[in-house]
Amino acid sequence: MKTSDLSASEQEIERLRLEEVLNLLRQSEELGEEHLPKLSAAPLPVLIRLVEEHFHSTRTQYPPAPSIRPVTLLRITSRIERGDSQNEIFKQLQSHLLTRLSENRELLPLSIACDSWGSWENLPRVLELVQELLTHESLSKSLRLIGPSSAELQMLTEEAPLETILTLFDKFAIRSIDGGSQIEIHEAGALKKFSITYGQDISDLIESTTAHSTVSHRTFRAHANPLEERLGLEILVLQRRVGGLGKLQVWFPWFRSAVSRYTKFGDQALGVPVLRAIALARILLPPEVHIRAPITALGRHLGELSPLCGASEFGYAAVDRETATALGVTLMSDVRPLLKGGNE
Amino acid sequence: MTTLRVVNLTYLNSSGFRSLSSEPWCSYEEATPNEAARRLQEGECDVAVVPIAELFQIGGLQPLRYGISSNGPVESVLLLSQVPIDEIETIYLDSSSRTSVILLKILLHDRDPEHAARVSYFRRDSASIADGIRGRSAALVIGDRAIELRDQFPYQVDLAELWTQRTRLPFVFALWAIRPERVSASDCEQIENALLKGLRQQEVFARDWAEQHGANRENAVRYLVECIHCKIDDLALDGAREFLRRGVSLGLFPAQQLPFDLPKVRNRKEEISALLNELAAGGRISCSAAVLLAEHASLGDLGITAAICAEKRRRRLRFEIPEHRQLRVSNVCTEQSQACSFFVIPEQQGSFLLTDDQVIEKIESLQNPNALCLSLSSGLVPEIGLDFYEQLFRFARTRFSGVLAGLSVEQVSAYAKLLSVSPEEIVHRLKSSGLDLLSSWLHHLLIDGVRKRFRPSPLKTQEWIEITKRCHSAGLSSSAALPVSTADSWENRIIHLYRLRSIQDETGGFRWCSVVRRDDTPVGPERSLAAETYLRAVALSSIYLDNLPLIESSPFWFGTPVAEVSLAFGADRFVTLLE
Repeated sequence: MKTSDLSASEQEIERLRLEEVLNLLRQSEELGEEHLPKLSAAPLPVLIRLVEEHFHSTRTQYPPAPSIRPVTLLRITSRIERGDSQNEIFKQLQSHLLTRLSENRELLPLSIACDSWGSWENLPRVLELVQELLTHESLSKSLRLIGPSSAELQMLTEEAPLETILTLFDKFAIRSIDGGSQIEIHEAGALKKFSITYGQDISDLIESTTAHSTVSHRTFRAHANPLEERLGLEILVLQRRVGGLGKLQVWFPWFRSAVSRYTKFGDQALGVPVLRAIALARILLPPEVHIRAPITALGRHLGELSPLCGASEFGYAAVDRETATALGVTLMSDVRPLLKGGNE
Repeated sequence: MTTLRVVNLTYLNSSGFRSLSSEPWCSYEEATPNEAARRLQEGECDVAVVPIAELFQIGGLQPLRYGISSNGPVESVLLLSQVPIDEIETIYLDSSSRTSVILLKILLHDRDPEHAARVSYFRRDSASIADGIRGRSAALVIGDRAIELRDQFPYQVDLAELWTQRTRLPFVFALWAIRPERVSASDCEQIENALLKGLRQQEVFARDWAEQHGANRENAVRYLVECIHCKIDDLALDGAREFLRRGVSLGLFPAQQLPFDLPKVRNRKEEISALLNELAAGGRISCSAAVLLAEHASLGDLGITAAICAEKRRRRLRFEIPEHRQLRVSNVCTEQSQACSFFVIPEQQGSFLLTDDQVIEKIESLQNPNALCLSLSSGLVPEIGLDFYEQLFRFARTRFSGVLAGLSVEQVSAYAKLLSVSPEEIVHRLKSSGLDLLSSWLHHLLIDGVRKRFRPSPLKTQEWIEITKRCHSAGLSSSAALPVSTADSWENRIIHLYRLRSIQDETGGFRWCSVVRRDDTPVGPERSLAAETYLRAVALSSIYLDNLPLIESSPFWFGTPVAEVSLAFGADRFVTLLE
């Protein structure tokens, strides 16, 4: 194709030597390591343009998903450890859940988070109670359990082998690993047919960048970023080791501090690295993998921009204040405007 | 391609289509609306602008997606009278437009059927029509004659505005149409391309038209850009259908369906792509093209183009980008504007006014202050005299040699009135005290319809423009702003940018344009502005204001992370608060 036949965007993509990436995305083909240096050098609007191309060529394969997942916290483990009776805990939690479900204005499936998975010794009782709740006829159709994260599973491996722990979860029909970036544990889970939600640690990427209030050559000129290349490589490794087993369901960026807390000039540059990480994950991972932009960490306004960079959901929002405080997540009422599409 | 015989209208509202006259395949002429319709009907031409009322009744024509419509005041179809509309007994009609006559009858009937039945109509030629406006006799005046007579009679009804108020739909006055047996599909595409090309330069054509007709050039451009819509969209087509329906119900048209199908609009993707390429090549685009981009270009495409335009702008204008820090000298303002964050009245709890020493202390806390731009911002407090600010700027100058900004065009205007001196005198005093430029206080778009929604009423658009130009001419630069709120349409935002660009073309006095989020919930719908809309506004500003040195974004609503993202979408910097 002659340069004159190309649009301004395509010419810019060609100037950045990303035309091969563009063509692969148009043909729904996978990208490889060799593309990472140039992708890490592409300005944010170019990455967004590539995400748009990815969307156009693969949108039929995007999985349906709730844009946000309402969550409520159940204090199961702490009560078991306190010595409360199983029956007493069940009744209280059932009542709590029925109340929350009656308040569920969006009719989205309600996720339940356990306060912790406790010790190996108490784990069977916790799992038994959870299973009882999940299968009870008054609740079973409306609840989704948030499984253990790979970090929580790693802690349990100090007391028992991973294989045994996963088998125990499997026995109680809890077959998901939700969060964490311990890839070996996610891989082991995927091999046992657990669905995987992977939280990629991008703290280094964020903390290595300092915000400037004026535009710099970095904003619009091509300079590769080794940390971002490394991030891309880790995503490709994740895809090979876990995605290849067909169980990778959600990817999300994880970082130490919430973006919304950074309001003053002079802190790390947060908006651009987070959105770039989301865009990079979107074009490197297959379309059937959800890209989550955790609204709690990003804040509302950056969260609003994340779907334009390829995010397909906003993660969890608390349905009650107690959960919001305990888990440090945004309240459902604060994110409702995003769901209503009431923004201009 | 065979030569096509094309007839455009002689009016200003169709001057944007004069681009056809330079096409080699065109034999171009101009005529009045009725004459253009007659020629097309009788085969004396192949393509013409046809009034909508004629088009409903002439069979065998194929309209295109271009024409003359309005969505609000059109200013060139007016009912002028000495008495209120209810007291009118006789109306003189301009014989050259049947469409406007039918529109008038529909609207009168809609208001009050009994009154409409009592009104008598008489024809007159447009040259003498104003002579009939006496007592209870009114006149329907159209075209350039209406623009001349506007605001000269006690009572004036803009029929297009009334139509839109009543129906919530645009009004289509005329459409380009072809004779299908003479014009092939590829010819149609060629014609539409040429019409689109003309629309991108409609400001140039409006100026040419004004020169030929001895009219005011700026008024001509404003009219064409703001009042006339030349691309016919689906909503406008709904307006045409509604006009037909109401006309049929009154027996003004024979009962029938819309006697044509409009061709599909040219592939929007191709159109956007062509516009983006034009911008990337360094061209300017029209208001309507900018609206199309704002509403329909993907964020990726818009961002890439804005970044390209910004880089070209930076190379061409060769300027430094100093950091911009804003220091609130006071949070007090007596204006109490609904759209302003300076809302504390004097002596109210929480109000503050920094002392000179506090200002100096803050300046000294800055790192490398002389490489900065520092804005000393404050509200409007008539009790605080101009001498307070003069002293403040002089004092700040003892410790600061960077770019010093402060006060606003509104404040210059207020002090000029208060002290009964000219704005130039105020400018002279401020310059002498060390001020480099006036800060922006543009809380409202430069659109009177928008500005009059607010209390207290801000300066009228023309007043603001006039005082700004006078400040620039007197040697004091200023900053401009694009306020973005949910209550405003892209069309209004682009017209605002167009006005800023026109001022800058004339004076070169703007140093930057800030894109600021304005919360005007007192009058706007209760929605919150999306971060995407804000980024689009930044990108559009960078694309459209090609003559301004800097585009500035603001973190004050969306936070630093989004402001930082805006730097990738054509902004050169974002302002930060000095606390």
